[in-house]
Amino acid sequence: MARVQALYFHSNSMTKLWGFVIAGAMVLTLSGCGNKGSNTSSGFADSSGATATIDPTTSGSITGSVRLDGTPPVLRAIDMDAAPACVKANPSPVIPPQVVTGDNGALADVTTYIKSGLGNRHFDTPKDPAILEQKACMYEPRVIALMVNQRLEVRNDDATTHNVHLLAKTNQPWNKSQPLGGPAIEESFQQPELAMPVACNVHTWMRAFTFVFDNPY
Amino acid sequence: MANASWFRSFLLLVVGGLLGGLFVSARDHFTVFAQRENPPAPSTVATTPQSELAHLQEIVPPSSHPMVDVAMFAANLWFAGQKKNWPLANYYLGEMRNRMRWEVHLNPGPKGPDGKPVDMQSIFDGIDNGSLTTVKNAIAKKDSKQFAVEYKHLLEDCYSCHMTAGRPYLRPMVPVSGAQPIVNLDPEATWPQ
Repeated sequence: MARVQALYFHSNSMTKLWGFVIAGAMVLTLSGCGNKGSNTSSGFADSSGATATIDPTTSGSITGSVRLDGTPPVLRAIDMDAAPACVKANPSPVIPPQVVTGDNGALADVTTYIKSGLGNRHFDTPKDPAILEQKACMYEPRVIALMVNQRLEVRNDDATTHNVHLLAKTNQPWNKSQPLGGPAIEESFQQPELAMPVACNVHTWMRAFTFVFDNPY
Repeated sequence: MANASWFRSFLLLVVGGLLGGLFVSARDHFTVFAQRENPPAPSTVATTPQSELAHLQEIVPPSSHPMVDVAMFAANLWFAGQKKNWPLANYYLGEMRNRMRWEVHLNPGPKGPDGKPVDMQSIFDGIDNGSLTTVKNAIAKKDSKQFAVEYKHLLEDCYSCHMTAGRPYLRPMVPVSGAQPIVNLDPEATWPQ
């Protein structure tokens, strides 16, 4: 059976979190889904010696959720006064979206993924890019997942210049300014890597996290 | 006779005192003037590392000094591009980039409006990989239209850094006059040879 892991990222270490992975719709039509003991040291599914290509039309999907057990921290609104374009784009105060909860403490910005058990299966890289937008001086979505070699497209919809700084460790980090009305930044990643922060050094409150996997799950 | 002798002695004493005073005064003035004209060599002045350090700190220009050069080179870059003098534009762009790096080196973490240090190196790296590169590409392609577009993007990048560093009043614009009138911008100029 494939192993599933969930990751949730926030910066308040004082918050008590209990992560529950509910693989409710884990319908994997993978033959020989076992491959026991293939939990790699990198924390990713073992894809060495990929031989079998999976037809995405015949495979399933996996979903999960993470819930917050406790009270969400109360955070102060972001001070955007130094950036008039950002103030104008946000008529109401913006609370840092570090802990966003829904019904029954369900947390937003959670990534679930299969940690191991996929064996030597090969998954085609999606042709469509994953899109990270800068809207009203915030990243949208805050957490984004894509596959190795899939294009990441970073768009600037704001009336101000942003600096897009991806702080990778396994992959190559990059850092580019992006003017208003400028073309989208397009990048891709050669290696799986978890929770690469994306930051804007001009608007220091902006933060997103990028996950790269070698499978679509 | 005794009175005359006493008076002569007294007169001699007074004159001698006056002459002596004049001599001492003249010598002092001469010494002062001589010191002004011939100051002692630095090596003969007794110094300590602390005093030397204090002196050096006094004569160091402010850390914003390279930005004066950045402004000058940025203005000249625009006019070199307008005149399609691409080698000169490339030179000014390189000098501008060089001075920006120097500024980051001198002042890597100025306080922003929130009082926290600004990561100047990361902002510069973003500009270096962004608009500085696109302006350089436009120069390499000798593309005037693209140069004008990317130059404005460069100014926007500059301003984003100014705002982040708490200097929103330093709002750049496309220059209306060059800052180095002695350099001929005409790529077809033939004088001097």
